[in-house]
Amino acid sequence: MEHNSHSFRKSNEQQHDSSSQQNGKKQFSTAEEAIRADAAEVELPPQIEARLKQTLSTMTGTDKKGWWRKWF
Amino acid sequence: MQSETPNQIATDPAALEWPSPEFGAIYDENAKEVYYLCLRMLGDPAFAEDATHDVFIKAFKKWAEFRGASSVRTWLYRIAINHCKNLVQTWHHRHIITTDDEVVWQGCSHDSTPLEILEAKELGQRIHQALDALPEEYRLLLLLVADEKLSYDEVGALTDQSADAVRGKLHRARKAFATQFQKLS
Repeated sequence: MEHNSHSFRKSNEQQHDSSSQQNGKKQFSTAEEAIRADAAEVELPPQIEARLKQTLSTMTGTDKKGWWRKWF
Repeated sequence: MQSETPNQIATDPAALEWPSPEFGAIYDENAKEVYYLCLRMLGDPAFAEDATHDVFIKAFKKWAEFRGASSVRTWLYRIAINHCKNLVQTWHHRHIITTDDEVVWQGCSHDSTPLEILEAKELGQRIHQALDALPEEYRLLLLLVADEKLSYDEVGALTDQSADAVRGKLHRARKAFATQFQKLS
C-alpha cells in the first residue's frame, strides 16, 4: 500500500523555505528541506558507540598516539 | 573462566568509556550526521552502521593529520565520502547491488505514533529512491547542502569545486530531485 503524504510545493507556492502541512500532506519547498525532514526522523543506532568504544579500547598504543599527540 | 568473544560486545554505550572526553564530544556532535550521510550514500542501515564506526576509527587514527584548516564536521565528512565511495566501487566490482525493495529505513523515535512511523518510513524510502536516481554529483551535493552547519565554501571544498559552482549546480540538482520525488507519488 502506497501512503504518499509528502510532496513538493509548486514554485509559485514557494514563499518561504520551511515545510508546511495541508490536509495532512507535508509539503517541501526544496530537496534539502525534504532531506532535513528525513534526517530528523533517523536515529543514530546506539550500538555504533558501543562498538566504537570497544574497538578503541583494544587499539594499540601506537594507534592511540596520533590522538594524544594533538592534545599534549 | 569464560572469556568474552567478539560477538559479545556490550551494547550499552555507557558500559565503556571513550579514550578521551574530547573524542567523545566530537562523536556526540557529529555521529548522527555522519551516519545519515553514510545511510543515504550506501542505502542500507547495516552498511551505514559499519561505515560510521570505520569513519570514526579512521578519524581517531588520523587525528594528528587534522590541521584545523576546515571544521571537524567537514573533515569527518571527507573521510565518510571517501570511505563510502570506496565501498560502492568495491560492490560494483563484485556486482553486489542492493535493490530498492531492501530495507533503507532506520527506525524513528520510540514515541512516534503508527501513522508517524508509516509517514517517516515512506519519506525515507522516497528520499532514498529519489537520490538514488540522481547522478552521484547531485546526490552528494544535496546531502551536504542539507546540513545547515556547512557553508557553500565547505560544500565546494568537499566536492572539489568553487562555492559559485555549488550554487549553479544546486539549482539543477533540486529540480532533478523534485522530478524524481514526484515520480514516486
